[in-house]
Amino acid sequence: MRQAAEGQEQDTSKPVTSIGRRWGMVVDLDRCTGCQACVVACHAENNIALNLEDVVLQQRAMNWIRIERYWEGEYPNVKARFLPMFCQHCNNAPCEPVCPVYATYHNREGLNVQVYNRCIGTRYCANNCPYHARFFNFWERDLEEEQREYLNPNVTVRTKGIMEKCTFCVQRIRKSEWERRHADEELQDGDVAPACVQACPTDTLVFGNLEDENSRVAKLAENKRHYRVLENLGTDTNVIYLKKVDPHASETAPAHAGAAANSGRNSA
Amino acid sequence: MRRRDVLKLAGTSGIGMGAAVAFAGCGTPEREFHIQSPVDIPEDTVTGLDAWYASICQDSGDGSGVIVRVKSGRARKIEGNPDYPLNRGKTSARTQAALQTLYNPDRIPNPMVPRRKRDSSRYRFMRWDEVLPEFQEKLSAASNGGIVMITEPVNGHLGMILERFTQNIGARWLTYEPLEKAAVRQASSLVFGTTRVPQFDIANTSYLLSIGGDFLEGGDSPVHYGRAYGNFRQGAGRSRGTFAHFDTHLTMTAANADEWHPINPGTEGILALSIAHAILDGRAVPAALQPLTGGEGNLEAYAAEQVADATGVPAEVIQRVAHDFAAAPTAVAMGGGSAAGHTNGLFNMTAIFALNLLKNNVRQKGGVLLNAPSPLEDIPAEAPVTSFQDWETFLNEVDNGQVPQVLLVHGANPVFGLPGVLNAASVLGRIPYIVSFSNVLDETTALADLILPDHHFLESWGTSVPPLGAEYATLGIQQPVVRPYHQEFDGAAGTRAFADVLLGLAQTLGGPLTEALPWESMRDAIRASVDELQARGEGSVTSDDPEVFWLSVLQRGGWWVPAESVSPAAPDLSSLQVAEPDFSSDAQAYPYHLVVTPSVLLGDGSGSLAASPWLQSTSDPMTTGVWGTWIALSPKTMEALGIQENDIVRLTSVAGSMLAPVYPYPGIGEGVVSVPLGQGHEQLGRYAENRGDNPLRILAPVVQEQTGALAWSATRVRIAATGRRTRLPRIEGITAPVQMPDEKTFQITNES
Amino acid sequence: MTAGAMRITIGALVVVFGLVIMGAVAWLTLSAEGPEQPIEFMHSVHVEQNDIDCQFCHRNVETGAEATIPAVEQCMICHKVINGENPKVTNPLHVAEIAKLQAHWENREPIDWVRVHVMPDHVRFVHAAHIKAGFDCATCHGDVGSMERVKQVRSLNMGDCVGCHRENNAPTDCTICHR
Repeated sequence: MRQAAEGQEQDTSKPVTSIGRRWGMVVDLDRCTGCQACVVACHAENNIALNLEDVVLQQRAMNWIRIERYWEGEYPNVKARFLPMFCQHCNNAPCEPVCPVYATYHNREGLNVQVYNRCIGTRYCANNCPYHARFFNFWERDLEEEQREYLNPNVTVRTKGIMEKCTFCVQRIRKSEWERRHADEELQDGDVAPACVQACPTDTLVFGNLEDENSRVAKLAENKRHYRVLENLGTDTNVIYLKKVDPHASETAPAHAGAAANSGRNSA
Repeated sequence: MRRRDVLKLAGTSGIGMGAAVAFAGCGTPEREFHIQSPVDIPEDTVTGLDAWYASICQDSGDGSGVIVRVKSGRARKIEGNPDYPLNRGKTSARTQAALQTLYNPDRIPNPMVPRRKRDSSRYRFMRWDEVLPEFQEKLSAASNGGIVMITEPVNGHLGMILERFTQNIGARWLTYEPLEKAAVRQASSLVFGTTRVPQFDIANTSYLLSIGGDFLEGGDSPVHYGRAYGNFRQGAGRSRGTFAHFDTHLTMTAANADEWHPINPGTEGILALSIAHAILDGRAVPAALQPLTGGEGNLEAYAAEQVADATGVPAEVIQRVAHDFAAAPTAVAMGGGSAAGHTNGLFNMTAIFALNLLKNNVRQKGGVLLNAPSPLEDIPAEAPVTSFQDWETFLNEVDNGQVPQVLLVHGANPVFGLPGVLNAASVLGRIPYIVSFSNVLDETTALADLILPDHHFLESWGTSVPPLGAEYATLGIQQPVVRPYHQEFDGAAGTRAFADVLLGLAQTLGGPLTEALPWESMRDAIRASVDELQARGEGSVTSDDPEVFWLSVLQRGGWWVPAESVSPAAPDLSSLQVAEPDFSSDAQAYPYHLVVTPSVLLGDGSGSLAASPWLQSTSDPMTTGVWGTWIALSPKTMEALGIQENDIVRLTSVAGSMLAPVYPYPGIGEGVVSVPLGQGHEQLGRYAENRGDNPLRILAPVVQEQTGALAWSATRVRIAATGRRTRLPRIEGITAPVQMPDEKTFQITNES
Repeated sequence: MTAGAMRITIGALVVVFGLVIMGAVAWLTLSAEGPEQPIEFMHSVHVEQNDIDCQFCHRNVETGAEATIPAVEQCMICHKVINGENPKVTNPLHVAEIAKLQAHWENREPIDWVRVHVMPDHVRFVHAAHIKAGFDCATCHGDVGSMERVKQVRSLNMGDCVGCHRENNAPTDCTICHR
């Protein structure tokens, strides 16, 4: 993993030549209510294995997107904060250089790609991901006939021994691309919406091309509230968060992940 | 195309793109080497494109408009209908998970009868033509009043059919709603002159005051309010709204407020009056609100300093909130949740809603908007709700020997939801002939002598009048988007739409019933209404050709027309009684206040949502608990009782006891216990049964005097350790970003 | 022999065995004859002799990911009249095979064809994109129109796909096919 030099801006650190398209997402923390619609939408779209009870107890549950909950302050001045977390599609991705078989790599559209048929399951990538956005299939899935019926035919059903993670719903990107090409048109801003974005009731999540300065996502990324999670690591993510607004923020202790109010395992 | 054809096709369609067969490195499933010619030409094979059908989602609790992706004859994904006025393309977690109630491996595929009476362990599958004649005979033989119909509160065409059916066959119709909202509805009626709970325009308000309102997780439509909330916070062309919330504990809605203050349970109305006192600031109480003063003529008794102790809210907070509410350009006051479930729920709700009158915001942008009526006169927008008091009376009658001959059940599960002391299972079990139309084996269906499984809502016809919608008078249309998974063909059994069974009965039983319900199927009934709409020549779809109109309405997912403004009736609070909360038992023996909390995922547990592994395994927003029930306790209470996290404790009320592991919850006071709803099913298939415990069972059967509703917030409990421990499955701790010194994962700013 | 050497030998045997199997599969798929089908459907009769366009039957090829195998109903559009009772159908083989089709229609029994071009599930191939780019069906499928029994003429393995994509300046990003 490359460390970004001090004060370095993202553009100079990009390891991939641009093709005028860099997919990215903006997450407005001031809108997120923690309702979990994105989580279930992602499971439905991406054929993610069921997190049955014993899988959760083994700490092996897979959620390509999850809503982390951070506690802050003491009763009665206690607050709960919600942070949607998923693959940040880093331009300097820590997971990429450690894969011995190039099963994970960065494509020219800014996507951090996981190629299932290359993956041999070393799990180095997951160990190196500071966002804990990668999940390993420890078990072969056991589906009933009925449960095969709703599988998305456009997404590979992963088997045991394979790493998986958020793809920004690349199947939807390809589909929109193809539909536009079919009509001899250019891809427009707003054509592609990953499943989480489409479901989100509050419009917390906005997806689009960060290199198109007129796109909604690029404009939001310039918002004065913008920040990246773990920016100091120099991962140069393609996911930009907008800070939660709290007019009373100075009155309470600042949020800090893992500041255990109860059990020491505090964030989701 | 028949079912098995679809089955095969679904497994093996097309090269490369089609087969969603498990990708396996070594060894390929046999069927991947085959490709199939279905018998009939499937619709998506005509165009080569995914087929998207508009319909209505019944699992979301609000009738969200949806579009469903159908590929190879199977529903693959559900998205929001971008046109539908209620949810505008947005969906909740429950809507997303509806695929799993459709393709639920534990659905009942055929009509069936138990091998032994009241024994739900073994059943015999039957054909429809074998069971219907006897069913009809029993109905015909039942004397007047000998039939009882139990359903969920239901509006739209099914509501209309049920009303006419029960009226003309002389049946008693009871509807069941576990967490009764009678206080909210009645307070709306007193304050706003409408029994439908109004739409609070939070999208456009600058100050939102919520006292117990749980609009983001429970309430009328979390999706609608979620969308409005996004706009309230960061909508274009407006400044950020401010949100103050008072509740017994930190609920998900409370967590999204700018300021949350704990309040003593049952004192929500007192707080509202105190805020009113501060808003009036010495001015006289308006005449319409005089009844709220309890005959005093003024609100001096509710001065902030006077009520601070009783409510647990500091006087300066009350004064500041009142000031902000009054000073804001637009402001709205909402209520609900546990505040409405006290014995004085009606008083609480009325006092909270009355704050809107002080702000004079009814029918104002950013205020209280009144819902448009149903676009059709004979199609009800409201579902009648049987109060808990009536339920108690009914069960008492049966217990005392006034046993009806036939009981019909659809969509409601009173055996699961009614307080355990009523013994609903054994009392209802005395009815000699019970027929359930459920397509999953729930606790009430387990009593049935005959099960006639309904289609899933994605397989059948229906309509919905959205619970919220001031802008448009809307009729949402639910059309079958896929063929029934358990389909009838060649004389084989399968599922059949509930409404069609009723309409079929109406045809064969004859008499006034046939006249009242002249349609052969639900589709015909809806078609007749749609033809009426077509004749009006207005609305979201217009056409001179009835056939084109019909198809366009189906394509859009319904029909809506801008609503004419509804004139509110003058508030009439004269019947209101100012009341203190009354709890079920003395504070000495039962020191803790029990708050049952509907889950944003599993709701109140009355439907079959708990049968969805997606909803079961999705993190509860606040505790991240999954696959179970927990008891949220303040860490201080735990310390005082010597209880550790994951200790199994027993909650005992005057009405019963339950067991669950403890979750240390930072957002709850020392005197309060919160337990989520949705689990504790004895039936409902492999994913739900024998999992967690059901707090509804231990609620004391206390009635709200003015509404007759169950006072579901009025139960007190005591806590006892059992000495046993378990591990509550939860999502937190599995993954979290690494922690960096001096860098916060979650960042906050105080500038909007 | 030490245990270590034993393991290596077994490993080598497994590899050799694997190669043999893969070779056999390749030989089978590219062998002179295509697989036997439940109905001896002859492309040559339909395309060469009767000049029917590919898309008359594989009707989604321009719009969808899948070219789609026609439904029995679609075969019956023509074969309601073109059957053993039609004096122009004289070949007894044709009569027999059409009778099989009719039996499927009458019994409402779908036909399970043996897949000739098998792609693993982790590959997403979109027919329409290739047709849109101006390729002929025959580029990948060979001259199916003259085949009595369809067989695979190209390896259609990843090297084959990538080679063609490179030659034609088509994208070669993994996510084009794998997702």
